[in-house]
Amino acid sequence: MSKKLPHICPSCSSLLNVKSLICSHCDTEVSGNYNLPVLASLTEEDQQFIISFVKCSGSLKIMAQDLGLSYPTVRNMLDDVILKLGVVQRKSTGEI
Amino acid sequence: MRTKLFNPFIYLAGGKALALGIAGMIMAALLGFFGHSHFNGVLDFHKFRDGLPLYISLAEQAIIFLCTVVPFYVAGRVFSTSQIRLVDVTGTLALARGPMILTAVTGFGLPADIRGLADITAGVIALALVGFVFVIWMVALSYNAFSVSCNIKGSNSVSIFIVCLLIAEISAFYCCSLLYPHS
Repeated sequence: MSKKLPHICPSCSSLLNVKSLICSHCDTEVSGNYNLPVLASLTEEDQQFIISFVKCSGSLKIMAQDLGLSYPTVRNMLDDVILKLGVVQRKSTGEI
Repeated sequence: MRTKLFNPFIYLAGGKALALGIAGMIMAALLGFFGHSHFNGVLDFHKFRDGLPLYISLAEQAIIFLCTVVPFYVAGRVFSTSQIRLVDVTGTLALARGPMILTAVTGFGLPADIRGLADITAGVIALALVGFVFVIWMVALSYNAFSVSCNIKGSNSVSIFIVCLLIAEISAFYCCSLLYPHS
């Protein structure tokens, strides 16, 4: 079972930060207070969409063919991801 | 299944949808011509006692389509924040008129003249209702075509859609009326 990386606080719905990182090879642990990368703050589905977008060299036409969807559907998905990225960035800078 | 019936535009848009939609409109015009019925507005379907020349049936379809595309494309350009393409708006809206083929088929069973209550049989009422269901289906498809091709969602999209549909209906009705020599 793949675990989902939580990025929203279940208590107050703010963005979560990273407190510690661990090396799975030697068990070295690093502690601190790090912001999650913006992409990690998106849902797994949105991250997968971005990976497909990059793999298709940013061509929505090729992506639509690969996904078996129409061009405007893929463009709308991209626009939704752009909107979400804007919200995450504004949240991380404390604008909202 | 429901998505494919009411929102096929998730899978199909652009040039392919446009080609299919135009083929559908030509078929609806031919069925209307042979069934002595015609479309004189975006939502209008009527029987004609003597029938109309084929070129008028075809011209009606072209006028209705153009009168539909123009307000929806303009609304998309004004209200959408996405980079919309004309080929997607025209393609999806053309495909959305597909149910009109089935409406034209119902025209074969409807009488050309209804002079009294005696002419309104149960069969006529049933066929008229079936035709009405196809019109509703076409409206639902048109809404989804507009929503997908222009990326306009939410309550705003419904109001914009209704206004555009009214503009399309009025302009198509007026332009079609210019086609008939007696009017």
